Amino acid sequence: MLDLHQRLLSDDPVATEEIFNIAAPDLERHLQLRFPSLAAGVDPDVRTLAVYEALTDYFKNPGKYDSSKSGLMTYLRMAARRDMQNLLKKESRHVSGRVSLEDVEFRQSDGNDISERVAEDLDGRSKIEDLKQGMTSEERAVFELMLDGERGTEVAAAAMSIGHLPPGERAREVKRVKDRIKKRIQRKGIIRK
Amino acid sequence: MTGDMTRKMVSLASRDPFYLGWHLASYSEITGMSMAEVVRELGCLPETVDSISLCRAPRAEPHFREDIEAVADRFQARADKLARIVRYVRVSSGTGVLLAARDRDLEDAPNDSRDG
Repeated sequence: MLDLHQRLLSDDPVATEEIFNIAAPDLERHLQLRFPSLAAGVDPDVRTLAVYEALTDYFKNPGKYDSSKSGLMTYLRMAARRDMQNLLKKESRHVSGRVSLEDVEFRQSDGNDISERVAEDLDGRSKIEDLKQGMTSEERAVFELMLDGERGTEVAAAAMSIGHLPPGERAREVKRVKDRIKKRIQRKGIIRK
Repeated sequence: MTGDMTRKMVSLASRDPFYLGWHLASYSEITGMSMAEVVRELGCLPETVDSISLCRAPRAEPHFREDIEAVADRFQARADKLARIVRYVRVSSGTGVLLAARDRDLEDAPNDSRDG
């Protein structure tokens, strides 16, 4: 992949096609795992669109990728997840005609964002892994989003595979999981109760 | 990529002038030619037109010929025809003027040879 990245930097026009062939299936599988179910009415091709947007943005700005910080696929997966989250938010507003009401679960009374606190307080990957050990798969999926700074209900619902539930039930389920995660984080003493 | 995924990517690329796919789709639309006829004009195999579509569109002069030849060589298409199609679309849509201006700006910019 680094060889292809170099070719992209040297303006080889064929490099984009080769990167599509190698990276697109991997990125779509990654999004399928991270967002296994979509809410009713959401375009089923939204994952493909997120992959396309992530790759196209990279092709147009290859200099943004810093190989000393991460592998290229890690960088592209992160970009695809962000594009997917943005598209789901957009789709959610389009489908339901409303903005997600839930933006407070991860905020404490002092207004600080818990996801930022966790990122600040967990010094190193081992503590994050430790915290994730005891989590269920749906808690882990939502926790990963939380670490990305993502708080939207619809995005969390997609990651929990409950996109098929009615909106009210989806919101309750997401809140239930987020409350459990919050308790786990509090038990670790990372944030105060 | 699977055939289905390739088709979806080509369809998305056909809406963005960054890709050759946009130029081929625009040419087909402007001239009223079917994509099969465009493929015949390019002299390449029908299955390679999707790959050509996912290539970055050639930069303006002085890199135009170099980029066209890189794509044509890779997919065994006729470079002269591909060049003609891209020029035809750029002149018809006005993107040629914009690309030339953009490339001029990039060349004028110190320490920055990247294509945006």
